[in-house]
Amino acid sequence: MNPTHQHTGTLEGELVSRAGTGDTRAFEELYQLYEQRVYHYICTLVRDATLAEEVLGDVMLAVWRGAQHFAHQSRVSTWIFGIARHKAFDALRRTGRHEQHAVALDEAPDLPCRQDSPIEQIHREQLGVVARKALAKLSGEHQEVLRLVFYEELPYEEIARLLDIPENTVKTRVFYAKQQLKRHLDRLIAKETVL
Amino acid sequence: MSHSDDKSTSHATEKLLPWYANGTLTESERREVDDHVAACPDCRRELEYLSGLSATLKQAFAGEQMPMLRIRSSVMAQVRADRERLPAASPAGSNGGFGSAVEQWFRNLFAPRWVPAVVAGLLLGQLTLLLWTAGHQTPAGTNEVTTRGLRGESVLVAVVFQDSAPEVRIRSAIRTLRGRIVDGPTPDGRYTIEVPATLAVNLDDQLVKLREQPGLVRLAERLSQ
Repeated sequence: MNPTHQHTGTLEGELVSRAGTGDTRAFEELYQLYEQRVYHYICTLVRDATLAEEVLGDVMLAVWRGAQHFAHQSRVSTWIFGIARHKAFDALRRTGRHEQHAVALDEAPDLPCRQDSPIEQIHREQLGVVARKALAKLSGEHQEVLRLVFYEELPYEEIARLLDIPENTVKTRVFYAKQQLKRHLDRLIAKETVL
Repeated sequence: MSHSDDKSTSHATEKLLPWYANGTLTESERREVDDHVAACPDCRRELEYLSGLSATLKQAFAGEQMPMLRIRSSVMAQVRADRERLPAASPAGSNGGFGSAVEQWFRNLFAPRWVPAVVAGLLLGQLTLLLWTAGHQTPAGTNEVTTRGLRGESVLVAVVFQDSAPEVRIRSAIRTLRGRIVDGPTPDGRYTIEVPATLAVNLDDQLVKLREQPGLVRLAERLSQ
């Protein structure tokens, strides 16, 4: 029953406010909260780990410099992911890369879940690996919305605002992304079972 | 409602299920999905699937590679350099010239010299009122005044969910009662939920609704009145 990210929106809001007054410690805390999440979100968009790191640096600097102007009218995550999206598309335009190879998600190391028994942990890790392979087969748009719903746990209104598309389009996109993912998952699981 | 209307309503509700699973729907949307799911086996199955999918995706996303530490070091070095460039207690934009003059004019407009005197007067007035009120209190017990929310009266409810009940629906059912878990789940799946008395006006109706979902709930009853 635990949410993905344990910190509260209020804490994040305070960190942004303090960063806006020049508090570098508050910004560093915010950086640590968002570093991995923003990086992977950018990876989904640019599909190049090196370029994603470069964009991550730009995004976090923009967060620092823009913190004093954050109006607290949306979630902090929506604001930061909005900057990340904008910078990622800028980078794609700048480098002339619109279609890149998928990030090698299936080669990424797994993090053990401390609450699992060893057998459950192996099962979970296997599922995680299969899910990463299935995700890598999806389009960037479908990966993006699945991440925003199931990992970032954003409401559909915020996703619509972030992607600048109507709420109904968000719902439809998630609906089809889910279907595609299920199809790939079923195929991969069947293949692994046969092997 | 025609058959096609039923279909389109069902379709609209089905599209809300991912946000039902991530817990970000509004109260009324959640109730709408609850009602629909209670009557629609397909959506119930979909919700169970989403619950599993959500856990799998979290595992997948959480296991991704970390960015290189040098990125953080480089950003933090620039942040500190930015910070050092900013003069202490001097907001951006006050570098003299026309901009500075305009800013000073606005400052004078919104913070004139009589403001401290007015603030001091208001504080003095408040203090006088407080002292006067303290001297004219009614005898204790005749007109008791308490702060809202401090009485702590509550109703205890026991709910036992089916073994197969998906987590998202358990979470939603507990939210419906507007209470908090004070005990459980016990080995037999019993949760004890405390509901503030002020929110327990329709509690019996809510318990009846829960009992009407045999696929979800084995038992739902009051432990106290």
